Amino acid sequence: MVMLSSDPLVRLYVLLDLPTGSSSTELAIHSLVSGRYEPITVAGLRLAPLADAVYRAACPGPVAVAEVAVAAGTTVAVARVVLADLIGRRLVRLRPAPPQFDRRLLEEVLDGLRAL
Amino acid sequence: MVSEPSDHPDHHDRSGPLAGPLAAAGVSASARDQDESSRPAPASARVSAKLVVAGGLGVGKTTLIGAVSEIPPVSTDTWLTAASASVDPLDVGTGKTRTTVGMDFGRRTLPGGIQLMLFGTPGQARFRFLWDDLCRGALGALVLLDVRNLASSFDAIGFCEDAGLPYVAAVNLFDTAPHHPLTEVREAAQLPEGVPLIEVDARQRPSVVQALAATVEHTLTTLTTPAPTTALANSTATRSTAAGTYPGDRT
Repeated sequence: MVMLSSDPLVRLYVLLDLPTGSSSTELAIHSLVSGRYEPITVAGLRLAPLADAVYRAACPGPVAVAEVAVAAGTTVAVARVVLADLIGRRLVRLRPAPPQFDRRLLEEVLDGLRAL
Repeated sequence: MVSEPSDHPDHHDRSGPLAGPLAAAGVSASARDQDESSRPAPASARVSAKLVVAGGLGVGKTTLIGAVSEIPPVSTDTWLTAASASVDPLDVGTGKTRTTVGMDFGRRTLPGGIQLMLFGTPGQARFRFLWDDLCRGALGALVLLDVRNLASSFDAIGFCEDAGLPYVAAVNLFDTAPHHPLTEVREAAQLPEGVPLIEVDARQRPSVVQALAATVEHTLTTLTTPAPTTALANSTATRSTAAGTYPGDRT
């Protein structure tokens, strides 16, 4: 496995052979992503095995970044970087997250919990 | 035909032919649309929300997440390799045979469609840098307390205070733990006044759901009534030496 040192993100981009232009910073661990195409449609793209695993994990979305990582058998940090790249290539779509303390969202979560 | 909660129907997607594989599930999706046609579409459809479950090592975070999650609680390492797990000192004497590397998480799809994600904070202090990431965007935190070792959760309390994340403290009702009145626990843990203190049985789903609801409710309350200045709050740095001991145990 990879040992990370002083600048883990840069090292991940290098190790994963990804362009460093994509930013993974807006990807929270609970951010929802969805694959944009059926896997069969992108077969011709020949994604690298890791990117392919991450992509396939995102396809049945919306699914949280943390779940993508687990399904793809990798860490959240790696999944995040790969997802940022896939989002940049418009293969994966990121759901916009509501503001943190959005009253409506809080009320809906509370209603949902009470209805369980 | 009503879809299972885990199907995450895609019915609020308006982006056309690229709607994704779940577009094939159109039958159940439109059935849901009809069910919900009497009220406005929730802002929450296809939205995730996050709650943090915090507390010391072995306080029951994973158990609590597992009690409500529709997926088995997943443990994922985030930055470090699994190999580093071997250097974690396992707590001797607590009977804990498994420790969390990184974090645990679970998911519960709520009626209405929100994916509620529950993240357990890493138990080990050296993972503390992950907490910023865990708490970013969280609706609130539930800090579990073990009455036999309140001090093990002080880090979690201090972190929530420092991060300005609203939290509820909850005594996990272990069968083997002595019972302390909540007023004594509050004093011993030196909880700030505005922080709710409740009891929870991390193994029982209804109890856990109630605790999570209390957490969200508390965040809503803090939106209405601004919390007392954080300067008054107890962070780990300002906690007095008596913290962690019960009033009756002090000499």
